[in-house]
Amino acid sequence: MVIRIGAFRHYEERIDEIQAQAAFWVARENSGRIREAERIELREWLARSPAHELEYTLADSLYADETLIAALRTAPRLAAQRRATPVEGALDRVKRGLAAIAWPKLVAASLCIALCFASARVLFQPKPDAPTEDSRLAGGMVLETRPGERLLVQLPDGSRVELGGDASAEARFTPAERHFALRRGDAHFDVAHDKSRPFLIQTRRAGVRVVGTRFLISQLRDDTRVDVYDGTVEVRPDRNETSKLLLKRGSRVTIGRDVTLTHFDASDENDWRNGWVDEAQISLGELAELVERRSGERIVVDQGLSQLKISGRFRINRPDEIFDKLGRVYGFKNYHKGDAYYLIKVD
Amino acid sequence: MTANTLPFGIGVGERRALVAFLVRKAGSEMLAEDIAHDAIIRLVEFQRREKVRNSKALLFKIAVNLLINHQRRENRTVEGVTDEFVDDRPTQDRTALDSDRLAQLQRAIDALPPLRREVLVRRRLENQSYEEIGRALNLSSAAVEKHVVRALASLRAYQDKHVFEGVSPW
Repeated sequence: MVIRIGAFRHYEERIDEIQAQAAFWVARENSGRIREAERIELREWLARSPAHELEYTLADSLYADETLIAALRTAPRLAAQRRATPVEGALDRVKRGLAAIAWPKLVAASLCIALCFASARVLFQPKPDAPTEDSRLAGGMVLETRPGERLLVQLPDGSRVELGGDASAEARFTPAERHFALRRGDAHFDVAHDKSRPFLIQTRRAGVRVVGTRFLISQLRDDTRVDVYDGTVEVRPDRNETSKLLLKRGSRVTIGRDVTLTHFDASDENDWRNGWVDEAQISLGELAELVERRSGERIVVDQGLSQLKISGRFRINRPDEIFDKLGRVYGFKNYHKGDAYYLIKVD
Repeated sequence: MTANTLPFGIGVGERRALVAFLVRKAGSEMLAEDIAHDAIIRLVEFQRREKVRNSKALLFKIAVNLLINHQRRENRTVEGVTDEFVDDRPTQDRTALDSDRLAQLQRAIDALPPLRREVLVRRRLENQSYEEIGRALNLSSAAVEKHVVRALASLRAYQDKHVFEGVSPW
């Protein structure tokens, strides 16, 4: 099982930022002016991601590289007055000759550069971890997991969202409202209390509005389900529906073609995290989808079996275990071949 | 390491290509195998905590980093411990590696804006302090530091961009 913390975007999308931060730290360290507090900050930054560590090491190696110094020896210089070191005397004379020829071109070039710098400063601020989470969320941030993964996200308002496998969601924060769309998969919410800024969640089947509470939303094949662990959750079964349901701790609402209200045992909140599901009536096909999402294993269900109705409490993160147990009761068997589990009928 | 323990997105073919690349760079098959093995383990660890689109490019980058660190360590050991027996002439492989990197870094430095390049030359080649550079170029120390940071970040980005497209390997 994979749990990734705070991995908002792909590593490749953040590489420019990470390289800028790595360069900042390397320059800082080599300036001889780094303070103890900054050292601690650097250590924390390095510990936050293997990407930070990798880019830092690469930037550090480059800064210290003898080959870099060799390459700088032949670099074209700005034609300003400077102190030459004795070693470079000969090279310098050659270069001064060149600079004299290239002079008008260089002036034009450096003017243009000054302008570029002025505009680049806004776009490119090499600060260690710029505090722009909230502004980044204003444009919307997509969160996605592959089957078998989980993603724990700490939102800038202090809310925590944990996505199950094969899930897709988007967070978009405005000063007045916190918007969250869950398009696919399950998500457990621990919403930070903020009366002035409601947390609104849109799913395929329902709109959910909360102020601060803990609950789980699961997108099943045809239904959206909300399990409330704490506080009060307001659910509108349809976008255009004016009726709303107020759910308290222990309530479960399943919204599909019908809306059913039941109860579940809310005493163990780690149930979902540990891979437990409690189902009154689920088809084997749907259950297989849940197992696929959670375990990341591909599951192929025999045609004649997928509508088989099953009920009980299952642990879905171990395909072999759950299908062994269920197979004995419901009369099917499972085998693993290649990259998938196959469920077939036993005659 | 067998095929089914390889990380996501990496197959036997990628592993073989990595080893071949490392043999060219390191000159030793044993070292190449060691580094490839280590790099794959690190990639798995990396993917546990980061979403990665191009695992192959990342694998090569991790391997290059390990190789550089290995060579830096080697150099230090050679300088420190076996002073009397050191043959100062670089090995053939090292020479090839360095001339590739030298040419690549020269191109990357040429691509820098002139002022940024000037600051980097003064800092790294001439070992001037931020204050000295600032006085010479009429910049504040903070501005000098920013130029150094941006120059270094640009060079790193240039290296990344030109490593795996076959233009100039490290």
